[in-house]
Amino acid sequence: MLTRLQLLHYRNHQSAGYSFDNQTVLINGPNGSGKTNLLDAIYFCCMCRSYFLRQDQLLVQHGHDFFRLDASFDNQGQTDEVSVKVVSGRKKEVLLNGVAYEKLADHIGQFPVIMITPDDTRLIQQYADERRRFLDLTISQVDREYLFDLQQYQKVLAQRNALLKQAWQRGADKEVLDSLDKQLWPAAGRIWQARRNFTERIVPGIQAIYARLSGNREVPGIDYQSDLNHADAAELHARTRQEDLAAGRTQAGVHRDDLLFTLDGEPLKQVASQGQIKSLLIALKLAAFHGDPDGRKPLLLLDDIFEKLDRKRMEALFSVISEGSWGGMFLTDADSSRSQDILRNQQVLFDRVVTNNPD
Amino acid sequence: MKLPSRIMEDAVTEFSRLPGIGKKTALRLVLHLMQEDASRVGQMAESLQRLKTELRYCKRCFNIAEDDLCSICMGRNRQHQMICVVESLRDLLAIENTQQYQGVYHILGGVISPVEGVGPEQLHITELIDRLPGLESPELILALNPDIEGDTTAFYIHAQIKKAGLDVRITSIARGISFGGELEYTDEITLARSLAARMPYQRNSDS
Ligand SMILES: [Zn+2]
Repeated sequence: MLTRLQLLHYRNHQSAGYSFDNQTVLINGPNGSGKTNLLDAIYFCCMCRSYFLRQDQLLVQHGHDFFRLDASFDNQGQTDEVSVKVVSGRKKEVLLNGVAYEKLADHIGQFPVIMITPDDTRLIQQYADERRRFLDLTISQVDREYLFDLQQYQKVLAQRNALLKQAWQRGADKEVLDSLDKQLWPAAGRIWQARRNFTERIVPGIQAIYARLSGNREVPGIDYQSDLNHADAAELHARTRQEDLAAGRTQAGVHRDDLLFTLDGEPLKQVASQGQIKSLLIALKLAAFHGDPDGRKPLLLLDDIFEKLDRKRMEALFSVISEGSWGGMFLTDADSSRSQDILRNQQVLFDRVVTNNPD
Repeated sequence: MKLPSRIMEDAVTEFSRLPGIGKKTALRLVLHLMQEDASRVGQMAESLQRLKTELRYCKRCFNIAEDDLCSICMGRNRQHQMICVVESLRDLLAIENTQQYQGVYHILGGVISPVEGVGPEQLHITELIDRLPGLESPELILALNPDIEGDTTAFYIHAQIKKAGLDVRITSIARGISFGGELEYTDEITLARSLAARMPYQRNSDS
């Protein structure tokens, strides 16, 4: 569990320090006072990046040129200290017990984390890259090789696309293309396998949680869509090579993968109500570590999940969430009385933090 | 920086163009040289000039040479059928520093990277292939950085040798070096061990 968090110049947190005695922490405060930023700071300590913003510089408080985060994680009496330093013009540093990582990828999965926010509807409403991002961020926390393969794939793909683009002007060197493909195929094959295993692994969890959340009988599912579902990587890329040369880029592969969410076999987008979509997204996130062979207990970060729910549904949602096995839970709520009531009703011991930073 | 003399200013500017030298250090070096004997400074200037006038690339391996061939290619105690393929002169120097390697070298002058616009035609790969038929049971040791560009180049060389129908033993230095780690920064002991424990070059390349 997280026992301590310190923030310096992180978004609208000038300088703040918190220590926690309980697994569950309730974050109250008016909107814009920094509740979500606090969750995001914790997320950053686990994933070396913000959940919301791709550019670290945008996280630095206005008028400063760096931010720093310090977190203590307690695991069965052993304490680990994680520090994050982002200084403008320098490479970001993440330290574990005072030692900086040479490769940030090595930190991913050490402190598994799940963030659930109202923004998650993007997963359904927007483009496929959002869904691939979900796959990548989740799988890389449970599978160390996955992140390595993904980085390898992206680098080889960039080289391959550069070569294909040059083919327009001067003809591609077939043997260079061969040399790149020999590195592309194995990585693509492993990424496909990992994504397929993951989707198959979490579906039972999603269905069980969804049934509890919605009380409905319809059954949700995930259809993993990939160019590699019907051909192995070597075969696929050999077959599409001529088209790739003509188009000047790699047209098929795991970089085009997508997830199709379904309800009773029908595409969710077409049949689901807002409530059903929300239930499915929460189920998807909560099930992300379902069936994890190493039994990791992720830290759960819940941003504003009670919004637009009536009291009965809030209670139901919280009791379903509490059934999971978590390495701690942080919840934000602008309405302090209702969330405190719910936690007390369920006899949960919790710490409470009130944010009041200027927006 | 305002200096009392234009000549001094020029010297400071020249020094500060060197990697890792800022204006302050450049000024310190110039002030130091001004204190030195004229003959010392003359010697230094001459030795710098000779870098460009008297040095050239070895016709065989593209190492730095004073004649057509470099001192390594002319070495009597070297095993000339064993060729270590490196990206740059700096990698050659790193391996030479181990004092463990008795073969010769071939400097490619880079690695294949379409993103940077570097293709095989810009590298000394053809020259490498041309060296091989004249040797008795040649061995190539691929000592390229273990990253995508290094691997692409290794695959490519392997394919070229196959295409030429040459019988060459190809090994690659053992991966004691972490993936993505630069050869040049590897310490001498690790590097010497990697050379000793080199692996037959195969992996998933022989499809
Ligand atoms: Zn030579």
